Amino acid sequence: MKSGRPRCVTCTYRCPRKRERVRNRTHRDRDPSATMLCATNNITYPSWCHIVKDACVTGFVLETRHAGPCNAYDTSPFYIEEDNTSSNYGVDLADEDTRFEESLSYNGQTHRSLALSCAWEVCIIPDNFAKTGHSNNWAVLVDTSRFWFNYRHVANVLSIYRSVKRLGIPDSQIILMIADDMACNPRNPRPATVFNNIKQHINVYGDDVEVDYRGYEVTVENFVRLLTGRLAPETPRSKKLLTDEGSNILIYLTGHGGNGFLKFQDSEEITSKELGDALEQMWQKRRYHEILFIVDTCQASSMYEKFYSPNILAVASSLVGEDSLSHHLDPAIGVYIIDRYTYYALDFLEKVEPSSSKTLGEFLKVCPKHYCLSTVGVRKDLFRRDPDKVPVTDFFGSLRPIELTTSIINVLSPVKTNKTKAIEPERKYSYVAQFPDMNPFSTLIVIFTLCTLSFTKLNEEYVQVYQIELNELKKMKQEPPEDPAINSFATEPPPLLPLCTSTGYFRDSFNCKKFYHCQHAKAIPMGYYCKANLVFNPHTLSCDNPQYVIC
Amino acid sequence: MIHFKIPLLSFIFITFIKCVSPQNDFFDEELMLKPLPSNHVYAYFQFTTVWETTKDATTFMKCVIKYKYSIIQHSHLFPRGLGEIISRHNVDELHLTLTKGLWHYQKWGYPYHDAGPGAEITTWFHKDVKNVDDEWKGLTNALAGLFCASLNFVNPANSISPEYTFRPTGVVDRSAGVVDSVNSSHLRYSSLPREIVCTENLTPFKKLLPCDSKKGLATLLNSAYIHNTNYHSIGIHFRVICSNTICTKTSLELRQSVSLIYDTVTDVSQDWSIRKFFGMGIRGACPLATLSNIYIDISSNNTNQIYELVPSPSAKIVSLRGGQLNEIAVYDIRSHSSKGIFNIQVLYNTTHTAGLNYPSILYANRYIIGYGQERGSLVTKIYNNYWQTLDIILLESIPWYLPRYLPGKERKSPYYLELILRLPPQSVTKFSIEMDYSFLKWQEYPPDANHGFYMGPAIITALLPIARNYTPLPLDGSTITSSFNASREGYLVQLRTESLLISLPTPDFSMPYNVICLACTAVALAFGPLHNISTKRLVLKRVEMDWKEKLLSFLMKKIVKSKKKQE
Repeated sequence: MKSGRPRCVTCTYRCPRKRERVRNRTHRDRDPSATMLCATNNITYPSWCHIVKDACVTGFVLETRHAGPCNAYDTSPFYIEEDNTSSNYGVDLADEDTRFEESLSYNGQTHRSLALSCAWEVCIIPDNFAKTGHSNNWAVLVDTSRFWFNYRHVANVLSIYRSVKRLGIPDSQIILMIADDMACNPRNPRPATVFNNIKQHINVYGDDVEVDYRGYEVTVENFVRLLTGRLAPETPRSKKLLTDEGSNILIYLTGHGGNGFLKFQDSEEITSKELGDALEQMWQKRRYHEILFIVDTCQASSMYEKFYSPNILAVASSLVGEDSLSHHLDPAIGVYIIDRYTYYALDFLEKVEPSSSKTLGEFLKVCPKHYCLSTVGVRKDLFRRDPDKVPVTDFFGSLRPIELTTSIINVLSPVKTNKTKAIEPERKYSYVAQFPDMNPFSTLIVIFTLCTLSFTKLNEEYVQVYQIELNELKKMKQEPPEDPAINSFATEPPPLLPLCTSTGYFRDSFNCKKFYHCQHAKAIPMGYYCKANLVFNPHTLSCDNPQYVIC
Repeated sequence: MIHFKIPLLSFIFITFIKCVSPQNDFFDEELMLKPLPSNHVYAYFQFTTVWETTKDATTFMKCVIKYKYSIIQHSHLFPRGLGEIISRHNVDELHLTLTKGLWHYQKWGYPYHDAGPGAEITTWFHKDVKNVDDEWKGLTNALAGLFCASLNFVNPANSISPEYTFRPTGVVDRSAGVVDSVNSSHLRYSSLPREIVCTENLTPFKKLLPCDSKKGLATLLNSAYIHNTNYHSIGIHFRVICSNTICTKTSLELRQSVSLIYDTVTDVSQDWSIRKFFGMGIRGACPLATLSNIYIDISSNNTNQIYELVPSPSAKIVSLRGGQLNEIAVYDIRSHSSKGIFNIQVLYNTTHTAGLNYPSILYANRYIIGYGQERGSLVTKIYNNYWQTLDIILLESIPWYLPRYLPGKERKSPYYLELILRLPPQSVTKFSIEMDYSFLKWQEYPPDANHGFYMGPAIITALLPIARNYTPLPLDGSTITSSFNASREGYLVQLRTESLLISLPTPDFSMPYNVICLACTAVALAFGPLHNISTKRLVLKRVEMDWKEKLLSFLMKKIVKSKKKQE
């Protein structure tokens, strides 16, 4: 799990031979070697799918080394990680799976030249490429910090949650991970609220928040499993990232980090390499279309340095060697309330409407150095589009696919229902006795007590049970309950002497045989006991037979 | 695409037909406000959905196994999300509570639903379920997703199936030829006392209601006000009940409850109102509800507290139950909300006065004694204030990391003990168990191990002979109205004691400690060889052999020689 690399369990990959054939027919002039991929074992495969399949069958970890047949290019073993050809790899893979349907407008020739130009030069992105191709939006928002003094990290993640929810991503497509409870924390003087500002303008927690992973569930393992989709079979739908090849994902991480790692819950950490591998696995499993990765932590830019998968735009609140600073302190709660980068990001996002044309380019400039006190780092080389032309709502908003149909469907067609008209035998139901009948147990109690007592003698540290015989009880003097505070810190010692509220006789609330006489209000009452077998009757103010008194 | 559309449309079609035809389910919303003698106010919301399924429970379940969701997808008022989970995992009865705070039985009486701190879940699976543990795991995970709670931490290591404490509250099949199905092997109970309860749990809870939180009493459930209380508990209670008096047919009943304790002691004025407690007045009843009522218990009025209700109630009911007389003011929301938002105020004529407190006849508390981090003792004290003996069942459940010589297994199942006790009249019974604090494996410690480990409450079940301070609904009742004048032979209570925080021996995970350990190890490793080299000298020593070894070496030499010769 640590490496985040794929370890297949069942090899049920079906590689798209048929589609490939169809595509080859439509693009006859295409060089078939452009779809070839070279894997890390120096074997040329027809597509990435075949690599995954082979990796699964052989049990080795296989990754794509580069596009095209092996030995055609450089044979350096660290080709992908070192070189910047991942965009080439990305274009090619994109063509292999998702681009195909949308890319009918351009032919294979331009595509191949693009692939080649990307391999060696900075990509020149054609305009039709900058069009969005995603069909749904998801958000993974993670706060990795536990403890009250990390209030600001929860405020950070809830700020982004509020924005994406306001801009239209439904709760079912937001995975919110919060490592600790700040809203209902006993230290929070304003329960069920988390504010982003000392003036309490915005309650980022809101009134209908849904937290999917919380508390101890926020672990590195769960996070990587969530991203890669390798969850236990019983995991509920709300805890799954059910993305596909048309999903734009916003990943937002906040917490305490250092150079190359991000701490989870102060006890474990995810390294940038593990995160990069997890994203690569997502790409290979066609779990995303594009990712906007935002990280707000110290030395944040180190987290995206090891990424090598395509279509990722990464933003970090600070560069390596810099700290991400908090915005301001709220004396009412005694801790810093939000971090600078997210504060200004929320400030920007609050002005965005679902229909607005604000671009990611503007979003990348939200926190200049004199506001943030740290340099916001951006990594654009994996991202195929120009951020200045991408609307912010491509990641922060949600696109709902609407499919119009012109065919007429007969609604009134007969509906087959699974009605089983079996004749049921007459049944009789009844409620169960809620308390066992005690008489059969009285012998059992005695036996049990004897056993326990014998055990107690055998083993001095065994359970001690004190059984008081009924016969003995009658001889004993009845006393009000002992003050539990004598032996322990009881939560609620019963009042031994009631206070007089008015003149007269009152029955003791614990002991029906006992009653008090009050001379006047607020006096100390005089206690009396009724004679044996009598209890005090508060209606007649006298000692009475027990059968006439509700006690 | 068409393949997807046809079932969808047919579903819409079915619901359309269902909406036209009269429904066999109904929904009630009720709120009980009860001023307590300790100057707290107990607010209890109950949303009841009763669904008269034409099929009895067993066929319903069988049918569900055969065609998954076949029945539940036609639900009308019953929440479908929960219905699917219930039918999928073949659940007969489900009780789930999410609670923050401790209920003071002595001061506040007995609540409508007892609930221990944190999350608590009790489930009866259907008797046909083969692998109960698997269904239990699936159910808790599904509910974790539905209620945004960490119920997925429920596992066999913290679940028990006690024999006597829990009985099915729903009906069971008693017809001829049916084996008695009450078997605790199909029961699972688990408590997660650590669980926090906040808005994210209330949001999905409200979404299960037919009117969501848009209309009716649910509009009063504003999280900022609800979580600002001394005690709050939300609960889901599903069971199968009789749908006719002779009980040959069954219905499904879902009770969604919210219990809140508001404090009026700290306020300047003792007056309270709906708006003060919930932030807003009542806009109107849920249109889907058949019963939409607010009750205020005014028994304490005119004793030593005098208050008046504004506006005056629609009706007043006198309820005599088990020796306890209660006067209840009833507000029908429909008739009051015709003029818009309305608010109920309780105005006191006097300044702060405490009510007369008749303490509950049975209550308990639990604590840990001992010192050090090796062993301790768990003490449960049970108070019987009644003038006669009381029979109780005490369920002590102890996590596996506090080993005790009871049935249970480390890391596999918790230790639990069920005792049936007869408490003498006017007595305090003290029950103590000694336990060891075990040292866990380092990966088993949570990130904040020094905070301590929570231990769930003990449960005390008793059938009280009188109904003093007793509020729960009778077994055959579904709504709050059914608890008025409901005298029975006994009144069942299930008290929960405090959950406890235990500090287990915890290694120091902090950096300085680890640095010291590492440095010391390095020094020790370096010092040993250096010391050996500088103080010892290596000398060759002749090997002394006795006659057996000599013989052996002689034979070995022979063999080796003969082999060499062959080569």
